[in-house]
Amino acid sequence: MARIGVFVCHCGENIARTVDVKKVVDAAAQLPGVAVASDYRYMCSEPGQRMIADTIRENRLTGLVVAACSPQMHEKTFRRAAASAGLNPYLVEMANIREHCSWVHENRDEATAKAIDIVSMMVAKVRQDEPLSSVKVPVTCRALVIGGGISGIEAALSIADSGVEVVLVEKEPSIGGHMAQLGETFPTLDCSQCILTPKMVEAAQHPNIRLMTYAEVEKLDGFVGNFKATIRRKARYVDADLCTGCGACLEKCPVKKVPSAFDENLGPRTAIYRPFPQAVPNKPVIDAAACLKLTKDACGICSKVCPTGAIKYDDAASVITEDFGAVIVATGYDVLAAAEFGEYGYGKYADVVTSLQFERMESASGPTGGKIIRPSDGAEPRSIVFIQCCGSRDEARGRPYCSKICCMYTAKHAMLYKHKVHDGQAYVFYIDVRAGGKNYEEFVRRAVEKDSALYLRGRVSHVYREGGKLVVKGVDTLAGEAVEVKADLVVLATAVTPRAGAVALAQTLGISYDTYGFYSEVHPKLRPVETSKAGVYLAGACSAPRDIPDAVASGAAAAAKALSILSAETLEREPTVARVNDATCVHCGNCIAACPYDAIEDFEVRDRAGNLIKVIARVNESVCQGCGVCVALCRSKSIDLAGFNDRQIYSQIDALSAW
Amino acid sequence: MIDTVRSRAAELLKSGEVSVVVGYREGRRRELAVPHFVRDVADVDALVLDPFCSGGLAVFATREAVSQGAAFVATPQDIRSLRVLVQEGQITSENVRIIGFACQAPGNPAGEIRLLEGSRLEDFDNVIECAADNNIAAEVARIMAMPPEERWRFWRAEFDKCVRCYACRAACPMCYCAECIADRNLPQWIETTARPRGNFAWNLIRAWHLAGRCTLCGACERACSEGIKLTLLNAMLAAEVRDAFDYVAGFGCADEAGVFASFKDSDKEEFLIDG
Repeated sequence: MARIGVFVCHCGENIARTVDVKKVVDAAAQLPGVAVASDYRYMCSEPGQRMIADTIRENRLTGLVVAACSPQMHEKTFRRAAASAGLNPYLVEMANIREHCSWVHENRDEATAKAIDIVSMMVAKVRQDEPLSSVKVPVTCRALVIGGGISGIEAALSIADSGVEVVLVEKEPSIGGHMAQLGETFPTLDCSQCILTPKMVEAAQHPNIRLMTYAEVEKLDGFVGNFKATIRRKARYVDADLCTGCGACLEKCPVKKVPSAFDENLGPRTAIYRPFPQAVPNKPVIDAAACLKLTKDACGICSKVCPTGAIKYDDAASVITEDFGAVIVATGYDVLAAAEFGEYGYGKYADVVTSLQFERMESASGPTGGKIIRPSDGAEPRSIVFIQCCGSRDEARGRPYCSKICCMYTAKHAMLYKHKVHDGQAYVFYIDVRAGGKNYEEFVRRAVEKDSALYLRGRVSHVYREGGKLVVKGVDTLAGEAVEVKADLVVLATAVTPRAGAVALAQTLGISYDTYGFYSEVHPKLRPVETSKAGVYLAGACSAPRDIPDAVASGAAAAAKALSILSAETLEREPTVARVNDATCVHCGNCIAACPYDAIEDFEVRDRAGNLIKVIARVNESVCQGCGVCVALCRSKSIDLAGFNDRQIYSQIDALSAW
Repeated sequence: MIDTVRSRAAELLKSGEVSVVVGYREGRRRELAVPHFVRDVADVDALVLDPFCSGGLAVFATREAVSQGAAFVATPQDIRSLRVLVQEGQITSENVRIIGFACQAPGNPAGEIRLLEGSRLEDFDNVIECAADNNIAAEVARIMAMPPEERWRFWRAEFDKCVRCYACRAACPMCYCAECIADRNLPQWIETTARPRGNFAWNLIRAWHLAGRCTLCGACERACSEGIKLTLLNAMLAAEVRDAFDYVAGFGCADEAGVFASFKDSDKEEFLIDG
């Protein structure tokens, strides 16, 4: 016979203010099957939990209803309390009389009546509950990191250092990401490559890290602890094992004018190329679209000059699948195509550049060797106008968000310009200067006070050419007047956007993304590196614009989260999973097709002699998330969800509605 | 024409492609053709084809029956039903052969019959419109034009007739469940007594279970002893599915999941706020 305990929580005043707790206790005591009903001020407190455990023991309770807050909040707490007293934790039900009742109602009588209804429903349900035990799943102790920028490198190194094997997949021929493109970094002005390349090399040489550059993740099957990733390795046309990185091919390649994406198209590269001299791995690839041998079957010089015979014109893409326990997504960002800014003359005037192009100019290894020039004639610019918020904080263009890094790098650009061109003048059009970060505000003040950058608060309406100069027309909202600045160079701080293809990758991985295409954290404050898919974590700017310190921190955080999965031999999972009734399943295939987790598969029912009796659907308990889509779809009701089965749901409805 | 049907049937049996041909023979009355199962070549002469061959033979396309190969004398709707059964994994298309026909006025002695080209299910990718579909579309429009109260009265009167004999279920090619939801009693989903609540529940749940699957073959309505307008009910849901998902049962590819088990980017999401 059922002996159910009902415990009603006051939640301080949260519940008791609106709900007459005593009345709820009295009503609960009258319900069939209820042996004990009592209340307490803070049920989740230590004494509250002890009271529950003691009552379970004293009254040999067979089920528990805690009328308190949302199960999200404290279901685990009370399940643990019940388990400590020897009651199966899945015989505990939460009646949510806080979020669903006291918080949303004002009338005390009505709220009390509703609380009684909610409690009755859960008492009816708990009478149908069956003890369940958690599902144990083995874990593959390997991590996949997608994206070899600074956050991906940091994540890979953190995991590898703790002794776990990592595969780092990068779609470009070299790891390094955007950070490799930068000149110097705010707020300390240390050279970006100088601090990055040691990390790149460390990642490449780490015994626990396997680099897979020029490769992309095509598919991710499986579930936390047991993912199976399909990775496509693009054709490099250079045998990485034979290549020594001597560079002879690069010198001799006759195709010398391919715009270099790494140099933001400011400089050329050859058809066989490595993105930059410090590339890791330092082994070139052939750009099949530009190579004369591959397009016209002419040339073949690289093959002739290669001392090790590493050139393979017949190389082809290959697809491999590997097992992983956790996945870190660190795919980074793009900057907004400046083509959107016709009014600023980008594309029309060579001397209007993006800030990433300016970074390349400023970089010692860049196409100008670190010299800041006007691309149109190579002259040193006497004045530069920096236009901030190009696309960011711009509701009209659909990007109301702040790109976060532009205020700082613009101050840095103004500063570095002054360091290189002492008599030059930098003007900065800004909306607000956002310098929230350690030593950031001081850095911006330095740009203004020491390096005499002229900050003008306001937007630029348009840029046009007059004589040899670019005329920037804008407004200074502090002075309240229109301004016109003649400049040699205009630099656009274009918005940080999600990577091209970010949405497609999110769909491949099964993680969620926001309106812009940035990946969504499961909780923006408390779970900032976790995605809605268990075992998949976020690092770096793929989830929001981030500067280097943030990107590194999130890389390390994602690694810590991944390690919490990978450090256990088995994972415990909730037993609230779907089960198929073998006798009545007719294998229509609806549930198999609809399952968002691919948790349902064909199962062959055979007799003892091994003869096939029939094929049915079977739920893989370790994959099932208990969402219930299959249950809703099954016409013959041949699937049920443990912990939420049809009888339980029906009994709840029956408790509420006297037919 | 019947000679063609008979010789096709004999051919299929002789070649071993199928072990049974499911067709029609004469009933006891002139206006009746009843299902006939030909397993022996000598038996093909009993096959008939006239406007009283009303369709619905796909109901015999069970996993067991088709496993050794089966041919069906089939209307366009039957062909579509067979395609849905393939889609739902109940039968495999290699085991199915079709002797297709279309009647321009089924049930009318003067109705003209023509044979359809093709033998395998894949040959009928374009069997789309048939006269019956258009008639029912007009009827759907008429009901939808009624004010809700009147529509309610209309269906209430229809369902009141139901005696819960489940003949509709027995005649339906799509009702292949081993255990019907109507027979489940833990919990009992559908009240079994023939009174309004249970009748509504049964007829609506059946219609829901056929949404996106019913090919409007009309077998249920013909089987109904009380003359409930079941095809109309199914046609209304078929119209909803077509409008919402651009999907008509029986035209999907064999490897495409059913409409409720799949998601397309083009699916309307009007139930979402701002969807």
